[in-house]
Amino acid sequence: MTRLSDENTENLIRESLDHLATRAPDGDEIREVLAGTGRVQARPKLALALVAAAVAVIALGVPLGLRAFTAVPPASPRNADWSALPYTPGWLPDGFKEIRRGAKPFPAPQTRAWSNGDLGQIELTSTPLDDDRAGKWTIAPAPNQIIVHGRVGMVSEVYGNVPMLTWSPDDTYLLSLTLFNVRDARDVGQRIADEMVQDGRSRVSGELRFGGLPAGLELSGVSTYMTTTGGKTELEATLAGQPTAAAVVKASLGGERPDTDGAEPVPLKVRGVDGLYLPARDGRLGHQDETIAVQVDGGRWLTVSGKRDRATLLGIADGLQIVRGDYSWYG
Amino acid sequence: MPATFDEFVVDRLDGLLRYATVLTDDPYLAQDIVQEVLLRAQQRWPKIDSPPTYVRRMVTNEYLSWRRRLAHRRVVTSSPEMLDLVSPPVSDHSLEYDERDAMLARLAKLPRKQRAAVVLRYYENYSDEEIGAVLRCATSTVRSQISRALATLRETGPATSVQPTGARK
Repeated sequence: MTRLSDENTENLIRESLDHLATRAPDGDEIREVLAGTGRVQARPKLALALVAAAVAVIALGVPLGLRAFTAVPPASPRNADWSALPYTPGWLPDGFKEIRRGAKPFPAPQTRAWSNGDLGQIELTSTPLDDDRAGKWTIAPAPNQIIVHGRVGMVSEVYGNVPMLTWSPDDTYLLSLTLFNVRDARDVGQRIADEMVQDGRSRVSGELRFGGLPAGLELSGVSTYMTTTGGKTELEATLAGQPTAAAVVKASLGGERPDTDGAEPVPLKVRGVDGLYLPARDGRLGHQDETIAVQVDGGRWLTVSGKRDRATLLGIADGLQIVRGDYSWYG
Repeated sequence: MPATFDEFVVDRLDGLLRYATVLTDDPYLAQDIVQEVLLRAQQRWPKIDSPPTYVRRMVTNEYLSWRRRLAHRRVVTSSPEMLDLVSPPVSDHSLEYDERDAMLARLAKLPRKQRAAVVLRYYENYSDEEIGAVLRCATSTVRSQISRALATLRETGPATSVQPTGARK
């Protein structure tokens, strides 16, 4: 028999219990039973004018709120299992396939994207709200209102003339639906919004795990993609307690060799085999941080880059665990 | 703090179901327990001083005593297939998942009171005093229960030679 250390045991217990919690059933049956007793009813729909006033602040609330996110503690019962995706479209235009999933800890948004294989793309972000932030919203006019199941939302234009529909379906999440190069985008967006359904079971399950991070950094995001060379996973780590801060370190596993962008690769051993190091560089791709890369089993490339020195990045690369991810959602 | 029972359910139901699932290791039993507890709490709601603490304690007590009631309850087996329907697992045979599965297996073998203490400490992050209040026992008993549980949970079985894919040989 072998024994785990105290620290390992406690960490493993926490991780195991958190994982077990993801198997919890949804509360629909219980809500129905309780509603049958005549006590629990759906939250009363607020008068249109009141909701308009509250939701209209989305116009200001989204950018202001996103900046305020960094001040909110990450631990919250609102979104303890942040790799679960809370909403999914019940309808999409013909030909659109899911190509990307990304998740971040509370209170950062989760994202999903669908493509029609050409230029058309639909992106959904689900941002968990918290009571404190909701209370800080201020009233602003909403010139482009929409109604989604009796709740007022709004349409705005981003990147020039790309429509983005924003609404809050349940007082817990703020959803934003952006439609790139989609014909009749506003009508299509309205239908997608109307037919949006709660999910909570779709997950972001990448192929990488940080084995260890330098003090002061913690996991701040995982994204999975379907690319022309197959599935790709990206991890991000940022300053502890600031889940929405810019990534300090990134790790990825995918089919492509990192672009040297004019830098001279320096050979070095990574994970016991021949890999390479690229210094920080400014080239046609813009600024790129120091990078460690190695080709792993299956011919794919594992890459670690970030605002840390070579030895630290190498340590992170050596510690990365490659696990079996889940790309079965593609399509 | 939710003022009404309805608000409490809206705000807390999902968290209660997660807690009960972690406690019981059975989503269906967790649902039964939470439903029963909420129905009872609904009856006496105006008299409950601190609903979150009270309801969580009721869920815990239900778990600790549920075997006595089994003969009178609907029994739902929790086969792997049924669990998968609740939350399809990610297919994964990595070392990390092996360790987690092994830990869950060891947790499943703990006596119920030890398991409850472990869940309250490591899932709910309760202090020993808070755990004692929920389990209605002294803090010394809480520490003793957790200490014995940890001794069991540290045993990992035969050493494994499995290495993470791509790990340094």
